[in-house]
Amino acid sequence: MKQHALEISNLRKMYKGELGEKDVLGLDDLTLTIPRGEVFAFIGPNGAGKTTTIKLLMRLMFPTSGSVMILGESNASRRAMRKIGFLPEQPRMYEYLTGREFLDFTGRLFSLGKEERLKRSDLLLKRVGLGERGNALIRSYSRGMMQRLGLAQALMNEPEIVILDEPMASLDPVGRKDFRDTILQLKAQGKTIFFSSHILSDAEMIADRVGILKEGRLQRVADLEALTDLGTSAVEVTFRLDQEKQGRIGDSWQKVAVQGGQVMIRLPDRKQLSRLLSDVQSWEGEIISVVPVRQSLEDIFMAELGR
Amino acid sequence: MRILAVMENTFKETIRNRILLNILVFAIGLILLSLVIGDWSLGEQSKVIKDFGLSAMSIFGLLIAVFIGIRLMVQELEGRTIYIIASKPVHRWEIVTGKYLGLALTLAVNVLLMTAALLAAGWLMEGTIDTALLPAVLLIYIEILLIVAFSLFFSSFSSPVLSAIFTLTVFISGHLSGYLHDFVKLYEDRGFHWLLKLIYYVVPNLEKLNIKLAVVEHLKTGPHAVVLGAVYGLSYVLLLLIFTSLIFEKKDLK
Amino acid sequence: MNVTGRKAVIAALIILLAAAVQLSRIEIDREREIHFIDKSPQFLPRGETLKWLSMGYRGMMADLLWIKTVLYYGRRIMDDDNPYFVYAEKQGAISSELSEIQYRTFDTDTVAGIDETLRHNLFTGESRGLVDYVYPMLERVTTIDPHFTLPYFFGGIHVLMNTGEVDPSYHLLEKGYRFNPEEWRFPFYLGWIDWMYKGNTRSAHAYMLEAITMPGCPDYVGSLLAGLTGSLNRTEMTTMYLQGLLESTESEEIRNQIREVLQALETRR
Repeated sequence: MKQHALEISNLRKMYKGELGEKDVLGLDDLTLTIPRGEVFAFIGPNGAGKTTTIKLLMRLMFPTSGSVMILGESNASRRAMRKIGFLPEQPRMYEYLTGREFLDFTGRLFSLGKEERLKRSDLLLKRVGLGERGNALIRSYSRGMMQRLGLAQALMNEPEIVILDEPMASLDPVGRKDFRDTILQLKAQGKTIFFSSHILSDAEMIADRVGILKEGRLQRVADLEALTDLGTSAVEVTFRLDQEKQGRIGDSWQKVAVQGGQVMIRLPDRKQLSRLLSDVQSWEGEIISVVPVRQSLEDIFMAELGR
Repeated sequence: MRILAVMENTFKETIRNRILLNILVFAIGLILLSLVIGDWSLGEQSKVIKDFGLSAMSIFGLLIAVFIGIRLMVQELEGRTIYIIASKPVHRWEIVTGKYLGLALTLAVNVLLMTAALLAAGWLMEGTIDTALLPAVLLIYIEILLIVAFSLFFSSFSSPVLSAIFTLTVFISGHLSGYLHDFVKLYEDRGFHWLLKLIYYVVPNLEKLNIKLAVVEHLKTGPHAVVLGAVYGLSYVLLLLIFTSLIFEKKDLK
Repeated sequence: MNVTGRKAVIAALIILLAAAVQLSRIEIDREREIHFIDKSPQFLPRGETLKWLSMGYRGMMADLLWIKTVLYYGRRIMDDDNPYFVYAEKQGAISSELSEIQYRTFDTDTVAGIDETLRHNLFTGESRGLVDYVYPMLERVTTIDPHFTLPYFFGGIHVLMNTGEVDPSYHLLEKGYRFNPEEWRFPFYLGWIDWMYKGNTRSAHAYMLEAITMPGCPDYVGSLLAGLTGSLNRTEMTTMYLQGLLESTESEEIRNQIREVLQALETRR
């Protein structure tokens, strides 16, 4: 169990330009390691290279240079691909098949036996909430239902790694919640999940780590656990202090805002909190609130994009 | 078998999308029409029916070959269903081969049903079933197989419209390559002789698979016409499938 | 299997299949050469039908059939190793003394005897198909595009000289004259056939007279007409005709052929 789930090394993709046009950079020198059991979110604006990366992982496209290892094996090997479940962006399935038939078909591509296929498609149809619609033609499905069926087909082989491209883009709020639950279930089973999204709140809710991609380059990998850890995060303290007494604060504290009799001070480290509280008491001020400041994913994201 | 899965799925597509049905209705209608035209031809009815029937079979088979071959490939690529299929533990050549076999099966059903209709029409006219037509039918089927292989080949690297044009060009020049052979002889001493020769050897000579007239007229076709035609056509098909697979294997599915 | 091994197998397979394609193609050619007689004119619709079938592409249709005819003719009749020629040689129809030059010398007095046998063996029976191919095809070509004059002359003069088929050639030229009454060569060739092949001096004279009154008609036709009225023998007439032809022909290839024939006539005299 030493190997990582995914090991991406110096992955680079140049798109050949049309006649007379320049080549376009799709992805530049991406190196990233995803340990087993992690939920990793790949975020970035449209055209940042998220889908390019995922297609390179799945060998739908071939890199200009660099390599991808899946559980210690090259992604060119079919043995490695057997351990992956994949849901493309806005998946399309054969419209002339029923949902159940399509799952059976994908099962055959995974070389599963007949009984195994039957059992799993039943189970998965129920799990993604398509139970009774499984026997209807895909032609009659809504986009949300397609997305659900897409997830089901990705899980046909009981994969160890699940790769999802924009899995929540076409879902309604209920669908999104179901989807998050499914991913958390998978995580609980020890699966590794790699997904792309441009919706930050989704990523924030379920991911362990996020990678921020911009113009084909990985800008930053951030640990969401660390971001939300109160121990290292800042604190904002608001207190009431008469205006004539405000001179007492002096230069010892950094004021963020002063509004009439209210003052707000931000502490970069909350270890300073007790000192500040005693100071406020000595100034005859009255504490209104102490609020831990979480740096949100959005803050990081905007900061990275602005750079 | 993964190839089998792709093949069955392709066959299912042509059945469920009623592609096969439309063409069949039309083709059998044409054979029925040949009954009427045969009536006008003063004598020679059964010859006209057979000529018409075999030609209809060949023309419709080829139309399906070109357009369905390209259509299925384009739908797979542009309908993005390929992302799900190609990301499974499947070789790309297995996808190509499975698709091809599925089309071949569709076309076989089509040719079989049309043959049955043709033989029935002949039986209505003459009271006998002319089994001498069967070698011609077999070679028609092989020609169709060859054209499908070309349409898959072209659509593995060019746009649908271009693929259709290329395939039709192969079809037409394939039937004219007898002329080409004469030109090769005629310009033996010219500088561009090698080019003619190259074209002659690369473009399939579809006339080699055409014994329609001979069987209708009960002419001798040569003892090995069918076997040789089959070897010629099927080797060509395999060659094309290998090239298609090699191209497809390296293709970026954007 | 490793990558190089796989590549080698694929390459071997490609070579093997390419070989199978080419070998079976050659084998089919060989078999067809013996067993398959091209009888397509019999199955081709009549000229009038082809005319409307060509849907506005009449010129192209005529050209295609024309090319097909010429190529067929070249391959089956003119080619020394055409199967019928070889067959005729085996049957003793063509003696080794009979050189091509001799055969093409229109000195029917000397060649006549052998000519008949050759004609009989070469262009009757199984090989009848050759003549049956060329003339029906020309008939169709000239119906689809009646102002396309080359096929008339090809059938009327060239094919006639090589096969001795007088009647279909004559009919073809008559048809050409009907559609192209301003072209002097039609009456000229008709007169020539009348005189040389049919022995109909009266008709020949009438046609030649028509020819010399038409624009573009060269002077030697006048001399020929004079000879026709006078008492020149056939060889002298032929020489005169050929010299006129030599002057009015632009193709160096044909000029060389004419020179050869003239030389042959010279030595015989």
